[in-house]
Amino acid sequence: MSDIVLKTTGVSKSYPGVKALDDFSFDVRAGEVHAILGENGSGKSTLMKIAAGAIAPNTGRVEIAGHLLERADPRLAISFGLATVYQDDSLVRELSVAQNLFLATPKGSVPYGRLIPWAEAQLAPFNLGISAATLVGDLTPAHRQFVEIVKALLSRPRVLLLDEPTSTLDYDGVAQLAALVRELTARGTGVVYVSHRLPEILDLANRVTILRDGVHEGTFDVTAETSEQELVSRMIGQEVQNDYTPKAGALAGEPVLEVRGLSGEGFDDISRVARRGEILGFAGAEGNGQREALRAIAGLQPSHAGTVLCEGRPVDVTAPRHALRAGVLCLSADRVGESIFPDLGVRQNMTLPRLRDFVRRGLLSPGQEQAHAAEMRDAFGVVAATLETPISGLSGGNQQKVVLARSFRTDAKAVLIDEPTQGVDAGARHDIYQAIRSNLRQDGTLIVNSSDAQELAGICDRVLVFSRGRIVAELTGEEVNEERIVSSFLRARDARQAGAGDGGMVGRIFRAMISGSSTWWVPLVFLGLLTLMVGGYAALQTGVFLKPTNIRYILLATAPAGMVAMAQLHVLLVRGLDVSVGSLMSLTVVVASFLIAAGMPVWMQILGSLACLGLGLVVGLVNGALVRFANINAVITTIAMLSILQGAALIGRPTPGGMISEELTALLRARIGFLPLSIFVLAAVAAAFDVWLHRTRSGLEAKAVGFREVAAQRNGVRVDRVHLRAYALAAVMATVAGFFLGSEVGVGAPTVGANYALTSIAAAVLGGAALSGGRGSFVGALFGAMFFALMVNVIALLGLSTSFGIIASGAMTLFAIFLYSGLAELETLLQAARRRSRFRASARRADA
Amino acid sequence: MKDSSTPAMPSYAQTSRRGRGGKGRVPLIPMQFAAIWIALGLLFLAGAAFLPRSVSATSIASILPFAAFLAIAAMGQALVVMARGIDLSVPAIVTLSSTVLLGTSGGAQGSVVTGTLWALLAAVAVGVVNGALVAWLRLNALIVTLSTGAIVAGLTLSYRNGLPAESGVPTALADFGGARWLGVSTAVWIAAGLVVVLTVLLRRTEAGRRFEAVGANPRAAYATGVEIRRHQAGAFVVAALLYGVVGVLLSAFIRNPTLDVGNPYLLAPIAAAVLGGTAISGGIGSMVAVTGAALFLVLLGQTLKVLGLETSWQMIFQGLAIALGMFLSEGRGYRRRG
Repeated sequence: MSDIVLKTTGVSKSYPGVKALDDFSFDVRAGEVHAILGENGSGKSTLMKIAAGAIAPNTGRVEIAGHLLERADPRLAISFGLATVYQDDSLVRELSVAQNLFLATPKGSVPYGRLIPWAEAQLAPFNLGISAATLVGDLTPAHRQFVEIVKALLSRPRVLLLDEPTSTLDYDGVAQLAALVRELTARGTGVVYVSHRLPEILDLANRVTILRDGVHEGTFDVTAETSEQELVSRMIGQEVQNDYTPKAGALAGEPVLEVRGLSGEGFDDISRVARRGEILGFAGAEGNGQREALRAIAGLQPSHAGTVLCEGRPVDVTAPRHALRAGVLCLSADRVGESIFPDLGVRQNMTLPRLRDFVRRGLLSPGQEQAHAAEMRDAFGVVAATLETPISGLSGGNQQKVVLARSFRTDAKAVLIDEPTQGVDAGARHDIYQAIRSNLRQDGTLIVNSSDAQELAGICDRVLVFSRGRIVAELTGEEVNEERIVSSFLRARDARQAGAGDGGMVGRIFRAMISGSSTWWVPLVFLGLLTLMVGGYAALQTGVFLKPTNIRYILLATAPAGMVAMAQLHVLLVRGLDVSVGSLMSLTVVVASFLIAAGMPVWMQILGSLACLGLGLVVGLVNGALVRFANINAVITTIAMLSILQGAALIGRPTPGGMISEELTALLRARIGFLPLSIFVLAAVAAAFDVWLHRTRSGLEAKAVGFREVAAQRNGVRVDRVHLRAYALAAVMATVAGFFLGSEVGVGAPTVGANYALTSIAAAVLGGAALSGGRGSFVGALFGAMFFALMVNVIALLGLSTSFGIIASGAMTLFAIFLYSGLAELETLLQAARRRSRFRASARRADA
Repeated sequence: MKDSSTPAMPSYAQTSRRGRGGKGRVPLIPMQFAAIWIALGLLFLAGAAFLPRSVSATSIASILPFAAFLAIAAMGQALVVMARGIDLSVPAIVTLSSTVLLGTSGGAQGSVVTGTLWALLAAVAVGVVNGALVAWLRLNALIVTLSTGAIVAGLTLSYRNGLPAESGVPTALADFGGARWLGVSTAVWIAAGLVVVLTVLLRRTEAGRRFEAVGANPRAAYATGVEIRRHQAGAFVVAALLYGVVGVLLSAFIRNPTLDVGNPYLLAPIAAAVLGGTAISGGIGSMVAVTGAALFLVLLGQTLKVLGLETSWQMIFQGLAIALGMFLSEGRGYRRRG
C-alpha cells in the first residue's frame, strides 16, 4: 500500500447542468508516470483540482501517500506530499528565479542573505543552464515551466501533478521535460501527467487513464504495442451525436475571405480562403496559434506580416473597427472581458453596432430599437426577464446568444467566432448551433475556432488543424469528423515556430535608460543629473544658492516632502494610491497645535505626539480596510478620507492659530554642523526601508503583491495583510511628515499640507516608483522630494513668481509619469500608426 | 476496459426555445438613480419637521443657484467617471474660465459674448490636454488632472496678476446672472437645460450610446468596432466645457470673482457623482440623478448651517457620503469587475 502515492475512490463532482466527474477512481504508484488523457472538457482539470485540494468533491475520497485528505485545503495536500504545476504558471515575471523559488518556501526556512547560492543549489540537479539571478520574465516559456516545476519540487513531494506541461514548449523543451520527469520517477516520485499529446504520453507514461465526459473509460499499461490509434478511439468513444443541424452540403462558392501569409505572435504564414456559405473550423490543442490567427484576421490582435482580403478588397487589420468596415468581425472567446457590457441591458448589448439604423431625425428612436431588439431576442431564443435586464444577470448561454445576435446583425460578410459554446450549458448549445447555421448569410462566410473537436465536426464544412502556429492539416467532406480532427492535432510532432513580434526599438532603449524597472540606480542617476543641471544653473545665476544657510534651507524643506513621498511609495508598491496623505499632514499640524502646544510640559507633548501617531494609524487602517474589505476603489476611498480629514482640520483651526511647541520644533530642526539632523534621519529611514524592500522576505512579498497578486496569493502570501500594512505605514509616515511640516510653519495651519498629495506621488515616481505596482526605491523617493525642494528654492532665489513654482510642480509630475508609462504607450501608438500607413500604402498599390 | 452505458452528453430537450420576455418588469428608474431622490425627499421632510427655517421658500431660493453650479460641475465629473476616469482639475478650470472672462470681456461695459467664448475656449483647451494624456498616452487620470490642475492654477495666477485687482464682469452679464425667470434664477434654468441636453445626448444619440459602451467595457467596445480613445477623451473635453460654464455663471453671480472661486469644486462634484449612482467601474450614470445629488449636498450644507455648524462640517459629511455611497453601490448584489 505504501507505494500508492495518490488514490481517489469514487470521486464525483457536479456543476449546475454538468456532471464534471462521475464516480472516478484511480491510483498513482511511486515512481510511475500516470497519464490522464481526455478531450477538452472531459473533466481532467476538475480531477487535478480535487486531487490538489483546490475544490471539494461531492462524494468520494482522496488519499495522498496514505493520508486521507479530509477537506479541500491546498496547504493540507501539500503537507501530505502533493505538488501541482498549473498550466498558467504562478510566477512573478518581474522577480528573479531565486526570488520566485524563495517565495514558495515556508517562512524562515531559508535566510534571505543566502538566497542566490540556495537557489543555485535547488536548480543544479536539473542542469537547466539558467542562473538563479535571471528575471523570470527574461526566460523562455520552457524555462519558466521548469522553474515552476523546480518550485513545486521544493516541498519534496511524493506525487507531482503536471497539467499540460508541454503546451508552451518547443521540441527541445519537450525532450528536456521528459528527461526531468524520468529523473523524478527514478527517485520514486509519482507523476500525474495530463496532456493532449499522444507521442509524449506513449514516450513517458507507464499507465494511461482515459477520461470521457467525466467518466473513467479505463486504465491501461502503456506497452510497446500501444498505438496512438487505439488511444484516440478509446478517448472519443463511439457515441452518436444528434444536436447538430444538418450541414449545407458540398459547396464550392466564391471566396469571401482570403488570408495571405498572415504572421504574428504565436502564428506564422497562414494562407487560406473561406468561401461563400461555408463554415470553416480552426482546430488544434490549446495554445497552438489558432486563436491568435483568428483574432488577427479581424484586427483584434496585431499581425506583423501578411494581408487579408474580403470580397477581393484589402482589409485593414490594425483595429477591429477598420476590419469591420471592410466586413470582417470577430467575436471573442473572453465573453466577460471582450464581448459583453456586463452592467448594460440586453437591448443595449444587442443593438450597439447597428444604432445608425434607428436614427430618425437625428435621434435614436426608442420604439425602433426596442422592436429590433425584441425581434433579435426572439430570433436567437434569448431568455431574459426584460430587454432592460443587465446582461450580467443572464446565464452564459443567453449572454452568448445576445452577442451572437449582435455579431450576425452587423453587415459583416465574414463572421469569426472564437469558442461559440464555451461556458454555455448543454441546453443552449443546440440553439447556438442552430443560430450559427441559420444566420450564415448566403453571400457570407463563417469561421469558428473551438477546442471542442466534436463541436467542429458537428458544424463545420471544412476544418483547418493548427499545430505550433501553423496549419498542419486541412480536412474536408467526410474527413470532418471528431476522430480525424483529434488525431491530426494529437499526432503533430513539429517543433514550435514562435512568431517573433516586431520590437519597438525606440521605446525599449528609452525604457532601459530611464525606467526604474530592474535597475534601481537608473532613476537615481537621472535625478542626480537633473539636480546638477538645476543646481548648476542656480549657482551660476546667484551666489546665494551655494551658501550653507541656503543648502540647509533646501534640506529642511526636503524633510516633510521626503517623508510623505516615502509614505506614498508604500502604497504605490502594492498598486494602490493614497490621495489623503496631504490632508492628513494638515490635520496633524492642527492636532499638534492643540496636543503638542507651546508651553506644555514635555511628558504631555510626548503623549500628544503618540496620540497623533495613533490617529495616523487609525486613518491608515480605515483606508486599507475600505480598499481591501469593502472593495472600494483606492482613489475614491482616499478622496473620501481627504475630505473628512480636511474638514476636521478646518473645524479644529478655521484659520491658522495656536503655537506648536518649541521643543518639537527645536528637535526636528536640530543641526549637525550646518546641515539639519533631519536629513540624516530621513536618509537612514530611506536606507532601512530599501533594505527591507530588497533584502527581506516581507519586502519581497510586498513587491510580489504589487507585480502579480494572483501569483503572490498562490504562493501563500497573506495579500490582505500586505495591503493593510502598506496603508497603515503610509498614514503613520504621513503623520511624521506632518510633524516636520508643523515645525516649519510653527502654527496650526489647516490647509498647509494640501499640495503634498501631488508632491508625494511625483517625488516617488521620479524616484523610480511605478503606478502599476511593485517598483520603486525609498532612497529614490527621498531624492525625488529633495529635487522638488530644490526647484522651489531655485524659483524663489531667481525671483520667479510663485505661479511659476506651481506650474513647475505640475509639469514635473506630468513629465515623471510620462517617462515611466506614457513613453511605452506612445510607442505602441506609433507602431499602430506605422502598421496603418503600411496598410494604406499596400492598399494603394493594390488599387493602382 | 470498463464498459460504460452513461451517455456522453447530458441529455436535454431537443426543441428549440423561443425567446421570452416581458414578464418581469424593470422599474422605469433603476434604484441606484432613484435612491438619491428618496434621500433628498427624506432630508427635506426632516428639515420641514425639525428645522423649518432650512426649507423655507427664501432659504431654498437662496441655495438653488449654488445647487445649479454644483450640478453642472458634477455632471462633468460624472461623465469623466462614466469613462472610468476621475477629474481633479475642476477647481483650476472653473477659476481659469472665470479669470479669462474677466480678462477678455473688457470690464463693466465689455462684451459678454467675447468674454464667455474665450472663457469656454480656455476651459475646453484644458479638457483636450487632459483627454489626450489620459486616452492616448494611457496616463493615470488622477495624476494627470492633479498636474494639469496645478499647471492651470499657476497660469491663471500669473494671468490674474496682469489684470487690475478690482476687476468685475460686464454689467450685462451680472444682470443676466442675477436675473430671475418665473421666480427662478437663470443659473437654475441653464442647469436644467444642460440636464436635458446631456440626457438626450447620452440616451438618444449614437455617440452617447457608444460612449456608454466604452465606459461599461472598453475592451468589448473596441472588439465591437468602436473607437474608444475619442470617446474617453471626449468625456474630459465635455466635462471641461461644463466647468467653464460653471466659471462663467459663478462669475456672473458674484460679479467680482477672485482666484478662490473654483475651490469648492474639488470634492463636491465627486461626491455628487458618486451619490448620483454613477458607477466608478464606468458606463453607468444618470445626469438627472447627479442633479438630485447636487441638490442633496447643497441642502445638507444649508441644514448644517441652520444647525449652527461650521461649513467645514460639510466636508466631513461629504467624505462620509462618498464612502457610504460607494459602499452601498459596490456591495450591491454582484461585484463589479475592476
